[in-house]
Amino acid sequence: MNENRGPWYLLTGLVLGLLLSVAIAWLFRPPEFVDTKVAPSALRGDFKDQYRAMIALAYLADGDLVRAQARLDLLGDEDVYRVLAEQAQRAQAAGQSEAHALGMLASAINPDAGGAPSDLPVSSPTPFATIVYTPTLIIPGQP
Amino acid sequence: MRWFLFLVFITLGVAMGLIYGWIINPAQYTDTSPEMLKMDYQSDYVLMVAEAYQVDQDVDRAAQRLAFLAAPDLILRVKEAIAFAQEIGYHPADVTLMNNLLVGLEAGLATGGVP
Repeated sequence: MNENRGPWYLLTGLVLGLLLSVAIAWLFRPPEFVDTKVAPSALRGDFKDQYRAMIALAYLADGDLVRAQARLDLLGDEDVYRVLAEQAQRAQAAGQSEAHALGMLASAINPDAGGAPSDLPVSSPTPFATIVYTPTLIIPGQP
Repeated sequence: MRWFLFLVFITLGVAMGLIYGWIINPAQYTDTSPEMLKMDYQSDYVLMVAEAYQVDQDVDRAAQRLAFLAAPDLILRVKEAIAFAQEIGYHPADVTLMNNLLVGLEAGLATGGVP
């Protein structure tokens, strides 16, 4: 081996080790080492809808807007009012009992809106009975 | 000696990478199911069901809402939520609501009304 190549092989070893272990760390996470329990913001979309509906029903029961907003923050929605209003419309179209609660909470959060926006798309809700648990692993830095 | 140092630096790289990948910037899950929620969020969900139950007194509907948590034993899950709520200091009125839900569920179970 040529002794005049300098310390670059050490850097190569360091980089190799880094790449290998980052791949291991992100793909093979030991459950005893990493807390896999999540916040509501990590829920799948239809589960978020159910969680949001429950927040609205609780708001309708206790009238505590501060608590409802704190709970909604957990879902990580960018536009809380719009998401609520859209879900209220979907629930109303599907004849679900939560529609009223969702609409009330949306109105309470944005009292100037004067009700749900009319240009919102209406789509069919996912029935609860068709829930399939398929978590997705997001690796940081990946698109 | 060169191979020994090479292996030492690979090991050093592995250690640094694991610290980065597991602690500094760990992978995050999304599109998860409710049973993966942390206990404090599950307890808060039980409290929300209890608040709604306090108004409608519909034990079957409360049981349907609790089914969201995908717990094999709903009553046990409510008991766990109450214990957690007491442990971390929920307001007594909230704990009372959760206890009322538990009583309603147990009564519903006794009469065959709760799945």
